[in-house]
Amino acid sequence: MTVIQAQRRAAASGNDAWLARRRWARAGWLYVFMLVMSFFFLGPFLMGLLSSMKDNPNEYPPKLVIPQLTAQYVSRAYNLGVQGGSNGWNGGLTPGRQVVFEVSVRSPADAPQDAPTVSLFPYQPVSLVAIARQAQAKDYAKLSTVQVSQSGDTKIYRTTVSYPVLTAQTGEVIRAKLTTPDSDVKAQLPGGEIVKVTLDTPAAQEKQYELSETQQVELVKAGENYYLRGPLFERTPMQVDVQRGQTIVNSTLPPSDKQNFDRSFAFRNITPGILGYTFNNYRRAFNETMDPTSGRSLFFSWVLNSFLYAFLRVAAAIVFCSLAGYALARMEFPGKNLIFLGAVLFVQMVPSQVNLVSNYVLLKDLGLLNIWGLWFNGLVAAGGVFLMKQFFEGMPKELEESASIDGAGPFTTFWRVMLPQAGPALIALAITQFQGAWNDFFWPLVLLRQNTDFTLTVGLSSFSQLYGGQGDYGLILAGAILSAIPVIIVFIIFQRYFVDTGSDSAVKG
Amino acid sequence: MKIQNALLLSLAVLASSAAAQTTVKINGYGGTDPAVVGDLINKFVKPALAKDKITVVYEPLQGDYNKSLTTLLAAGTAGDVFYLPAETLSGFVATGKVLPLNGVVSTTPYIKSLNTAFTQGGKLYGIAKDFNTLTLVYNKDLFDEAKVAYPSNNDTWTDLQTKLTTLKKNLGNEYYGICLQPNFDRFGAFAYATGWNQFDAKGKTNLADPRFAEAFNFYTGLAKNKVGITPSEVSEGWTGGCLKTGKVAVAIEGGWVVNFLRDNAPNLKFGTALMPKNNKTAKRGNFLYTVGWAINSGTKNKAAATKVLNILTSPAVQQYVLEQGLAIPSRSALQSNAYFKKTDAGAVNSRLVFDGASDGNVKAFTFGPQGADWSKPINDALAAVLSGQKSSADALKKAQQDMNTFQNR
Amino acid sequence: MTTTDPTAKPPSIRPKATRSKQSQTTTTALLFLSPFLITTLVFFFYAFARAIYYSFTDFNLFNTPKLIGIKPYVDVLADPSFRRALANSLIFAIVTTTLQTVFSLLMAVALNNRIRGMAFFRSAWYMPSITSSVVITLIFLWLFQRRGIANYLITQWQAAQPLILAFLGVLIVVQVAQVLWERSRKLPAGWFDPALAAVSALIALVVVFVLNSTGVIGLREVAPYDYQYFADKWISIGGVRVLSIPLLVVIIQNTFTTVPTLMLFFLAGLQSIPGSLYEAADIDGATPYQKLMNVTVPMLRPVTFYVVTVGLIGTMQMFDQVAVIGSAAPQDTLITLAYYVYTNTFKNGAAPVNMASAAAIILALIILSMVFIQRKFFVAPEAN
Repeated sequence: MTVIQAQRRAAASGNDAWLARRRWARAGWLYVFMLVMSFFFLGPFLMGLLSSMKDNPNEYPPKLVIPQLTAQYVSRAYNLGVQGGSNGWNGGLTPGRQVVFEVSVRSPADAPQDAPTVSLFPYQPVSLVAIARQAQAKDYAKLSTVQVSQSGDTKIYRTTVSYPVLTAQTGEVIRAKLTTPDSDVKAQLPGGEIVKVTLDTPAAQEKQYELSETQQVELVKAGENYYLRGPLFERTPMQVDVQRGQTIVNSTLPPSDKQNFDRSFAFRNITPGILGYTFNNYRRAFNETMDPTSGRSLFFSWVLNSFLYAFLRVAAAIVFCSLAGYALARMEFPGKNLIFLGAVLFVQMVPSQVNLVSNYVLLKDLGLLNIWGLWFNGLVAAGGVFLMKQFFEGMPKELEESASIDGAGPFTTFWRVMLPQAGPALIALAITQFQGAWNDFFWPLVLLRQNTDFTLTVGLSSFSQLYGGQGDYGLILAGAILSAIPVIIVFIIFQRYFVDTGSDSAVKG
Repeated sequence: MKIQNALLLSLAVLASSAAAQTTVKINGYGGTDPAVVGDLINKFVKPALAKDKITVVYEPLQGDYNKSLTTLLAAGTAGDVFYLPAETLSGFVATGKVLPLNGVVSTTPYIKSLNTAFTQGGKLYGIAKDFNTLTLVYNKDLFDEAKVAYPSNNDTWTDLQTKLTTLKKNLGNEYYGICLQPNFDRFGAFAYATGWNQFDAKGKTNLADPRFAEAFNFYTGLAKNKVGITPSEVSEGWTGGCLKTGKVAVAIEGGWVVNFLRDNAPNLKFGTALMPKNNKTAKRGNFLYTVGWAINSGTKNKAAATKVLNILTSPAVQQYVLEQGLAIPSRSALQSNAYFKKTDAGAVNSRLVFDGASDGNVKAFTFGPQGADWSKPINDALAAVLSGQKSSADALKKAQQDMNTFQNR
Repeated sequence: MTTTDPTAKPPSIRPKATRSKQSQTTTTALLFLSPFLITTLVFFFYAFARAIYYSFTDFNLFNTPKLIGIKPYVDVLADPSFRRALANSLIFAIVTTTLQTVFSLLMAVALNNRIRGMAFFRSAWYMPSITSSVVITLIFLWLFQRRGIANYLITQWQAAQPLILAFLGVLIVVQVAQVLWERSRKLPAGWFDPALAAVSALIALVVVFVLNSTGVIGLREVAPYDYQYFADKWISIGGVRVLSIPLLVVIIQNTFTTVPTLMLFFLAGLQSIPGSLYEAADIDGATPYQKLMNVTVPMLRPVTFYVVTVGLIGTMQMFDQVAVIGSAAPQDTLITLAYYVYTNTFKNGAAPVNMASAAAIILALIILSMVFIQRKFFVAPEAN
């Protein structure tokens, strides 16, 4: 056997090209393997990201090419946004604007030749928290549909949505938010000032009792008075119905819902703008969780809470874990081993469910069922102490000795000499703590009781409770992707340390 | 309505005292409720209590309401007034934190079956806030296309079955007659229609009862030839989701489906009919789902809390809630309200949900003293037969065995 | 100040100074440790003690606890859902730990190459590990719906089976032919020679493409694969329900999220193995498999110990996934000890907190004994 091998080797050694070819091929296969694994590990996220942009994330079969990411439709969404709300990103419908939307209908000779029925419909999704009923474009805008061309048996119809201004006055246009009315309609200007709103036309007066608080409106300032120009609409929902035998073959934007054997198309928003089209679910995650009492987006609060909690945890770990780790690594005192075994190692092995009842009851009694209680509960992580102890043990003794020669006290030595040297370990500690806090679920779920106090993980899991536990996967996926972004950013910046953190302790541990 | 408002206001003026500012906190569901209750507080409670210096705040509990309420009650930080779902009544009564309302609130104006749902050991612990029952919700387009008459309020089980079978035959493979949830939450209504009882005098459940078998065979028989399917077969979690797809003609759901359809299938044309009648008994069966207002026994502001509760269940409030299409009110006097005569799909659904509460064999939705696990043998049997794994007789036999084991635990 | 030399101190003072210095050090150390010790005492040891106390009382969150002996433990052990939770937790911990350890080791071995672009791949693979279990669980719930992406991929796989089989068949035939030809030229080609395999794959691809476009073979018509993952379905052995399908999905998910991290641990371990050991094995004519079993695996023992310990501790406490999936799967199929403790602490109304505490103590004892046994039988022989 070995003789044959040796012979072959000899034969091969004459052929460098043969060996080189093998090397290249092996590298090639390795890259193929790595690419396949990358798809495996990134696939679920990429698929989630893609589907979070769809109108229906559950569509089957799932499509990879979606209109929300097609240049043609995105630019149309932008144009419609400009037409309706003078803003290609946010879209919407504002007073005085006109929007043109086209639909092609095929009516074979034996089918009815009527124009499609086009109408606006009320649409205000009920998400996590309901906001007050917003005014609907249906009650303010007018529609007109005309046939513009015909080729063969397919006719193209153009629908114009126009939203007449509700005041006869002209002047500076100001955006404002309605507030609690008394006998007059009142609005809060961007500066915070609350003014009376004058309704000067019959069309406007008709709507006086239909407008609710928190409604965004446009006002015209003429002289000292503010006149209602009209409410602002985030969406312009439109529906197109054709008769049996006819088919809708094309429309400016693809429909968001089809019913009645594809003879009824609903467009949840024909003035979406890019944010309202491609990133609709992301916008919904923020807008539709608006807390009616504070007017702040709950989702936004959750993001802030998660950051606050992560920041507090990191800060506490940097100070307290390194102090404790230093003491355990570099100081001799009775009971040191006991503390290390009991408070560092043992603690890490006992599941947190053991402490559930007691910590819950304790923090409840202290009135700390909030972010601060959550912070105290995990103030000094045993894992962090362990990490810092390992690090300080590896540092040369000379540093401290020269410091103590200079007469520095232990605290000064620690603060001025040791800690600045601990940069890499502190970064590793900060990263693990940030990641741990950002992804923490058990304790926030147990301790946080108000939905304004939630962290992202808890808040996100409440998205799946919508509609009696069915969940709204558009919101869930958008929320999931949003909540992953900060960790990914931290990861990209501190990549090197991430990888080192884990593996170092593994090799040593 | 205006007169009632004025009345409340004048009452409030009379009752006004120089008491210091008190705050009454209300705990309730998240979702749409904060907006609704917030609206009620602003429109009715605040004007009535302004002179009493009582402020009212609503604090929604997100996620699992029962769990959140438990922790708040244990922490002593629960609201003075809170929602109390009828099916978890016994668990909360056992904590001693729910105030019995006998003598505190008058119960006569409310639908009787609703009061029963909140009574335990002869004491009343909640006043129904609103309620729901099951109805048949159907997709009009599918019936039109199949040229089959819509389900009607006079349909018997057989009528319904015929309509669904014809519809399936006319529309073909892609479309289905009805979505059937393999669980007691929907099937139970059919069992009640036959006159079957959930528990006998000794508290045992009899699944060998021929009446139970009749309902079981009817329900699972609908699945024959794919006339009926389970929601997961169209990748949905519940039967409301089936309607959304536009491929399923009928679902058995309550009023909650209206909002869902409005949000998720805005151009779906749906109609509502009452549950079908059993051929023999000529009666419908139905569940009563209800949530009540209860008062925290540990409240420091009992008088104020009672006032708030009375305002929130007053005729003015219930009428407003109904007219805004927010919920089905619990006062029996409201059955002749003008809102119920409207013809839009949402209003029709509300009227039929309201009518469902007093038509036929209507029972509160509950699993009995042993909790939700009670329904597991029945759910397993339904799932096994609907998926074709077992014959109906085998499944029922197994279910009775499991039920006996469970109840003897 | 800088001129003071501590060694110049009179010797007579030294013992006393040392003693006072010692007590001073102790004070400083305790001061340094105090935030850590205080919070650990309050939130861990006190809590631990209270949990033990509650587990012998009739506490239900609303009453004043009264001692009732070991009844809570008896109740817990008699509770069928506790038994299910115990079985689920043990199975989950053992299966997941085994899978993730084996897969991450194999991947690390495959990847122990210094090639360009490695950093990119490593960070890409790390993605599942950095995102929260809540996010991943929500995404997996979505992927594994009845008409979800997972079932869609299986449908596609079934539809493409003729093409895939044809590809593999051609690949093997061409590869064998090439290797035999190379060997006949006295070249030391192995059966898996990468260069030849690349050629074979290309040829197979062309052949399949031609066959497909000429219509000889093509995609099959298959019905959409229809499997409900989050249902009451079980893998039984001898009539005993061992592993539920929903739990299997969570096992897959957990393996998916942990393999990348653990693989990096193994990679670091691999790179610290001296190359001379492999050279020695090469001289002895060891096969790659022998090298793996006789050099790599034993040398990675400390890392493996760490990975298995961390894996067991983590998986025994599995909670997030169950809580997020919640009612989407039947409770029996997924309930774990951690979730059992949680649901029994917060119920509708009065809750059996005593039983929850007893279950928590049992969980802690299981984890501690697992670590202890592992240490005793897995590491001790190596230490000697």
